[in-house]
Amino acid sequence: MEIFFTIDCYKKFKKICKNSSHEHLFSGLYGFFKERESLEKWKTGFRISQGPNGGLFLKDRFEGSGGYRFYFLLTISEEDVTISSFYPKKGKHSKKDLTTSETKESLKSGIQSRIDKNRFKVKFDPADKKISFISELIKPEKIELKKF
Amino acid sequence: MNSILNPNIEGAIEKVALLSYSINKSEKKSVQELMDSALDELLLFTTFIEKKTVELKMVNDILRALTWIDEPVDDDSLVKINMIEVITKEINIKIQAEITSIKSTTLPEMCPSLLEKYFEESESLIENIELIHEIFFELRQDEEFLDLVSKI
Repeated sequence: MEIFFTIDCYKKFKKICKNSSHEHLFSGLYGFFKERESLEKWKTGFRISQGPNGGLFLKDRFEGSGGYRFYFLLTISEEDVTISSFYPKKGKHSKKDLTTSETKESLKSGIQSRIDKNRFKVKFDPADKKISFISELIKPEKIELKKF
Repeated sequence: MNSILNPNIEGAIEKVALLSYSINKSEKKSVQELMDSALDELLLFTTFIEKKTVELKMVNDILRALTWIDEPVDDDSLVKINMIEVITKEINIKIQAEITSIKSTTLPEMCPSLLEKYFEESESLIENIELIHEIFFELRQDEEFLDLVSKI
């Protein structure tokens, strides 16, 4: 199960985390994401819509009513999650809700970033019990065996 | 004045003793009764709020579950969803009036965590009613949105 943030969502997330009241998110989301190790465990919150191939666009919450909201695409075939909007309900950078046009834009950016393979992948650091990010564009170096 | 209150030491002792008996007897009883009564009322209030919080959570769970129903949404279904929206909006109006009353008292300081959960559940209800409306009557009726969904 791989979890990604769209570029725009990643930038906003980093901005949110700069505020002291939200800096716990890196460790808070570590446990939250870790527990969701299968597709089924991501089928939560409000189902905004479902595509013909079973892919889902959902809205869920982290840390309850006064916590955070996030919108995400769940791709069944690739077993991945693309978080396209993330915002706090309280404090700095808070939002009441996404407008209808913002919700559509969120889905659009999620789909496009998945097609382009231009997202930020969530990495788990077990030593610190925190999440970090790596660009999907950075591929591990291919190690070629020399022929003798 | 002094001679009326304390004609002599013996008389003073007698009066103080009588007053002491009276004060201790009547005050102790009435204070205890008042405390019991106040605590009973507080218990009634907290039980009432706990029950309401559970019920509000159930309404919120129903609204969330509504988005997971797989049956096709035709006009009849939309009428029913609209009825759910109307009913939950009425619930919300009553709840908000109650919350305004509660916030005008010292009760939020007396039972902060209990009322925080209640207030949060009511805030969720407002958010969820709006989301249900947006999902069924706007997004799922929107051609551009449906076109995007077909690409998920």
